[in-house]
Amino acid sequence: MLLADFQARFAASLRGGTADPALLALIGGGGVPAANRLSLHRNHVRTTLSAALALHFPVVACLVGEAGFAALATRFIADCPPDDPRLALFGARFPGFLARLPELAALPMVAEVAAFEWARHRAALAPAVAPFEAMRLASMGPDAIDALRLALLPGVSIVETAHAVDHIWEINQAGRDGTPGRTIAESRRLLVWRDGAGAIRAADLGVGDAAFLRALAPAAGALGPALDAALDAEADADPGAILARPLGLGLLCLHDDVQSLGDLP
Amino acid sequence: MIARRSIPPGAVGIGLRAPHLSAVAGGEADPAWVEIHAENHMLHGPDAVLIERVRRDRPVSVHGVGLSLGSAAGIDDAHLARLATLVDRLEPALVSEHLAWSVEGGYYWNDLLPLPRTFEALDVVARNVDRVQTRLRRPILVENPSTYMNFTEDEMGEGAFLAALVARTGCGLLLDLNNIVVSAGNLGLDARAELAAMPLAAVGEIHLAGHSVVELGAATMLIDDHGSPVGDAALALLGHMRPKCPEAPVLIEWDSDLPALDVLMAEAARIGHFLSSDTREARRAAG
Repeated sequence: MLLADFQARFAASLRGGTADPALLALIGGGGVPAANRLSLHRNHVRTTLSAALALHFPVVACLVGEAGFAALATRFIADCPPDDPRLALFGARFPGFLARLPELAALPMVAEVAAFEWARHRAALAPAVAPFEAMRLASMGPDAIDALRLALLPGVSIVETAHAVDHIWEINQAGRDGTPGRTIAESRRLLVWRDGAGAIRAADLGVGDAAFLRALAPAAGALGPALDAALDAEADADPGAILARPLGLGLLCLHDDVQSLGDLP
Repeated sequence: MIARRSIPPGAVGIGLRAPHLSAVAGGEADPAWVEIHAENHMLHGPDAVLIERVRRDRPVSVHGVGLSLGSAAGIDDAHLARLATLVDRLEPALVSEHLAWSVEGGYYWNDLLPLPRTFEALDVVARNVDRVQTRLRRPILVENPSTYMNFTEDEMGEGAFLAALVARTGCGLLLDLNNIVVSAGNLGLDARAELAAMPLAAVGEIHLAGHSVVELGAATMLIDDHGSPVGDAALALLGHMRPKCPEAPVLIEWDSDLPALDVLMAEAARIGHFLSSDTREARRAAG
């Protein structure tokens, strides 16, 4: 059997869980059946990837329970195997996968919490880039400010949900029992980022703020059109305040400083 | 650019994992050298400053686990570029990977999957190693992995395969003694004979670790889980082969059930002590 064919059959057996007879016929070693030997690799892949998912989505694991999470992880690994060798990036598609599951249709907050946890995770992983300093605007004319190309720092996300995922996340941290202190049936438009001290932060955004930030990320639009987008979304928004908020939090940087970095999934 | 820093001859280092990174960067422990997994340091996140501090203070080895040297489809350009960026940034003493594959059809299986030892596979691995060495502008070390199966199509043993690879590509050997114990145990082979077949003149680094034993039906299998102190069988192989490559640096790998840093350092000290007493005894025996 050619190596390419062998590897395709081996990978298919890892993904599908059923062993290919032609592959099994090649496996030897004595004493232990070929299928058992193959299952060692299948189990190792499943446990490694499941552990990575549990690490990246601890609150989802709390919400669905250990057995439920193990079953979801097994299905996700078969549906969406890693497409990147950096294990830290495994799970980008987990929120979308959960959102499509009919079994979770009655619990939409599970997929929403997953989206929030992924946003927190990618914020934690993102490269450190020097933020654009607001003071620099003072020496620029209006035309130069309009044309200035700023981008969101790598790893900054906006997460829109129908439930208060930030509250659900908080009540499922160590020492809490998961009991909501208030209604969770509240929509959120959350900005998620890593602050200068390394802590992951989340704050609710206004409609105009979100439209402005979306116009800057990921393609890094010029400031003028991005502020126009904010006003289109929220006619009575204050453009000065919309620009000042992310600048004050240090969430914007020069497009040229992040162009070569790319962004996280 | 930072200057490359060699590992002192025979020095015992530790595998540096995320929970210990800050402590080693802060000088709370002083390993002679450390080895990092390449794929854990490719995002240039907040840990980047810490690993650069570690590298400033001591030699570092970069050990890849995702390059898939055995892939028939070749090496992923994007991933090789990431590795090259990391190597340029850290100028490590050593760069290593495994005689295994993990990538197929664009998916990464996060395991060191077994390779039939055929002449075709040798051509594939040699081509891939050439490509990596050309891109990195340095020779790499290739590690013998732990194996749980062999193949009816195998045309040579592991030692012969690695010797041919070394001869064709100029790569070195990262000799994992625990993996020899595990593979021999799982395949009914003699560990000393497997060791003797290895191209020992090409050894550039030695790995040591612990393994576990699982029941699989009526049989037992050894699992290379890096979750315990170095086992006696691997230590016996070390004592046996050490005179043939006395200067190769030795690394303690510990990944699952990672202990406190002082436990890991104590394990490195234990192996260091074993090597120095073993060397003295060997000298005495030689008269």
